[in-house]
Parts: sequence; C-alpha cells; structure tokens
Amino acid sequence: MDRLLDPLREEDPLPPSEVDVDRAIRVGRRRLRTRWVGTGVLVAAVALLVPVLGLPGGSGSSVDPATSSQRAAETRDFDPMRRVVTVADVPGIVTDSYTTARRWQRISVRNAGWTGLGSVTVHAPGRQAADPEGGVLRPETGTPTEPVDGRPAYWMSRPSGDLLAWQWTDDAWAFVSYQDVRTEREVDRETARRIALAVRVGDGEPVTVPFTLPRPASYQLVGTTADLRPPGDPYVRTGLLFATEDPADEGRFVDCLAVAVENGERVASQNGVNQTVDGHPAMVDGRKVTLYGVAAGFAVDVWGGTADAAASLAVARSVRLVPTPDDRSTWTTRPLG
Amino acid sequence: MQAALEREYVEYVRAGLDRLRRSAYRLCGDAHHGDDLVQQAITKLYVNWRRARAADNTDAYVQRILVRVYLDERRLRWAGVSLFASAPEVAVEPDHRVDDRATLRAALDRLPRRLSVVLVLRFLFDMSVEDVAGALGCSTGTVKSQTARGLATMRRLLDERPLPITAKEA
Repeated sequence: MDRLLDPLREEDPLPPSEVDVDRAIRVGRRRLRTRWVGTGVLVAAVALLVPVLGLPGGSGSSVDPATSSQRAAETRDFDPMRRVVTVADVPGIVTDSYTTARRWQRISVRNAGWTGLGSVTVHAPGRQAADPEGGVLRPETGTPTEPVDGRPAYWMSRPSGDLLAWQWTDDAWAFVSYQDVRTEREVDRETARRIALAVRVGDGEPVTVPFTLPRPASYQLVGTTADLRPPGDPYVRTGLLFATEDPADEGRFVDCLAVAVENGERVASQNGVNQTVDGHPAMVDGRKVTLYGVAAGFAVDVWGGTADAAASLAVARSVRLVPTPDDRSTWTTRPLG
Repeated sequence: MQAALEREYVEYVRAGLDRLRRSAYRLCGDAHHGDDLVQQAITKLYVNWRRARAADNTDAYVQRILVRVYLDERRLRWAGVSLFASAPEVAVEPDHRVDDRATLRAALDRLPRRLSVVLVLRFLFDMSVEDVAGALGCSTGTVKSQTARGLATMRRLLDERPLPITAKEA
C-alpha cells in the first residue's frame, strides 16, 4: 500500500458542523413532490458531464488517448460572448440554461415536469470532447444511427448513459443526452433524437449582461452562464466566468472566478449575511462573496479564485449594475470596463 | 416519505454525520466545503432513502452519493447553479504538520478531479480496487491505471515542492 498520502490522515478536529439535516429534509420533500427524483438527478447530472468529460470506464472503446494526429489541423473556436447554438421548439422540452466557452457551448434542457433532464453540447470545429485524463471521445467508434440533419450520427454507450453524437459540421461534433426518470430505459433515445434534430448552430447573438466590471487581474474571460427563462419572466441569474487559462474542458483544473448577478426570492432572503459592505448586507466567506440588495433587488455574487477574501470582495465591489438591470433591453454586450 | 421512514433517515444521518463530514473533508480538503458536500449528499439520500436502506451496504451507498456530488461539482461551477451557499470562516492554527498536509493537499487538488478521487478513496478511505471501481462505475483496470497515474503525477508535483523525507520514503 502506497504511503504517500498518509500525512493527510493526521487531521485537525473539524469545526462545528454546518450541515442542516432539517434543511435536507425540506429540500428532499420538495424534490419528491416535484418528482425530481434524486436518482434521476444523479444519473442525469453524470450524463451531462459525459460530452465533455468522457468519463472513463465501461467498454472504454469510445475514449482514446489524445495524440497529435488526432488533433484538428484547424480550429475555429467560438466567441464566449456570443451564443451560437439554438434549440428550436421541441414539444414538451424547454431550454433551461446556456453556457458559453471558446471550445464548446452547451444548452441544458428539461421537460415541463422536471422529470427529464438533458443537455446539448456543441464543440467548436477542430475541438474534441475531452477526457479529464487527456483522452478524447471518438464518436465514430459508436454505433451508427440515422443521420442528423444529413450528417453522420452515432450512439455512444457510456457508463452514465447513452449519448447521441453527430458531426454538425466538418471536423466538429455535437452531443445530446436526455434521461427521464419516469421511463424504464436508461436514456430516452427518441427524445434525444428530437432534440438533436432541433439544434442549429449559426452566427448567433451576442451575450448581454446587466453589469460591468474591470477585468480581474490575472484572469481572462473564458465563458458566460445564464439561466434561460420565457419572455416576461423577471427572474435573472447570469454571470461571467474568468480563469487564469482557457480550460481545455470543464474537468480540467484551472483557477476559475465566477461573477454573477441574481434577483428573485432566493437572494431576497439574504442568507448568510455577516457584515455590511458599502452599505449593503453581505456574506463574505473566504472565496465566496455575496453583496445583497445592490440595486433593484439584485445581488452580486463572486465565487472561486485562489486569492484571499479581500481580493474576492474587491472584485464584488467593482461590479456595477446597469441603471435598469431588470430591463433586458438595457443590458450590455461589453461587460469588461 | 412515511414518518417512520423519515425518522429512520434522521437517525441514520445523525449517527453517521461525523463520519460523513470526515469523508467529505478528505475528498475536498476544506471543512466548510466538505459540509456543503455533505448537505447536498444527505439531501439526495433523503430522496433515495428507500433504496439506500435496502442496499446491502447503506454506508457504501451513501459514500457513493458523496463521491458523485463531489465529482459533479465541477460542472456546477460552469453551469452557474446557485453559488449562494454560506459558511462562516474558521481560522486554523498553523503548524508544520499542517504545512506538510497543505503541500500534499495542494498537489492532490492539482490533479484532475477523477484521479484525486481515486487516490483519496484508495489511500484515505482504504477502499479496495474493486470497491473504488464500484463506487465510480468503472473497471478495476481503470482504477489501477488511474491510481498509478495519480501517484506518479503527485510525486512529480511534489518534486517541485518536496515533502519531508519521511513522507516520501514511506
């Protein structure tokens, strides 16, 4: 038995517990009521990882080590400040969130009853779906199936569920996973296929956000995140993701810093307030900083990074909301001041 | 959930909370972060309690949930799912042993998360290759190769900032 990690067995006493069993029960009851069954969440969440993480295991036949010959001769990365993927109407399916990055973009989807969960991940030309240990997914090794939009398509069997992969353009792949806990089958292939057929990749539209900030020192903008809501829904949660390097995939360790704003009930409760910052109730906890009630019911949230609390707090304080953040038409496409 | 089942759940969680917190701490290296993981894990456990209590080894089932929560967390960072968890800061008195552990922990944290989890399960949870494979849903061969890769990478990282001789020679 290797002893390298033995020093980590000598642990200090843990601080008082912050685990709240009653809260777990409350949230668990709510999930059961909405049939958001935990197993489905777990399975589906793992499935969502697969397109970019290529979790090892199972047959392993569709994961190969990355080699120079497998890398694309030409890459055409996405602009993280543009959303280039859309999912047209699929009966019973709604889009839930959008994540942009240079090498891939993703839309998470669900059904109206919250029992089905899936994702569409579109990789930029020349970029492969990466395995965290350096391998890549090779869709061509999967089982051929009917083309998607006239393009070659394959089913890939993965330990966490099947993926529908298709070559959306030359040297570029997209992946769909979709699982519904109500179905006996592990993956709802029919729905996954309907979703795939609805995917379009184009010039897209610019990402807009209701805030600006100076680029945090030593970080670069690598992506954006946003909850997607129907027109007229006032809820907003949207943010920017910074990192010290552009991660090859989301499983790779990089120093990330997330800056987001949110409104609605969740931030109205002002959980965890432990000080006042610039006149605003704030929760400052190590690398997590939340400034509540900044403007129009919005909170500013900074999380991650390797700097100390003061640095995170400085980033949070540097965020400026647009004058009317609840009016999306006033949001900016240039958040870095 | 029926009241009797719920009582059973509460008793199980309260009885095993210290063990769960310690496991989470070993996974992530931070007590507050670990409590966040435990909070998520016991919520999932509540939803799946019927299945968990019927499992051959409920403790192993719960540990698997915890590991999955930890592995899935990287995605959450990207997806922008609520970052509004709160946890007060608690200072820890520094000493040399803590420095050593911090160095090891830092190296462990620089590994791809999957590799670090394999190492933690094998060498801090003392799980067999077969049990780790079961927990992660992969083959024993994968566990073995990832263990070897993880250790080799750890040693390479530690060469950049050496540990005390005792730890490296062991």
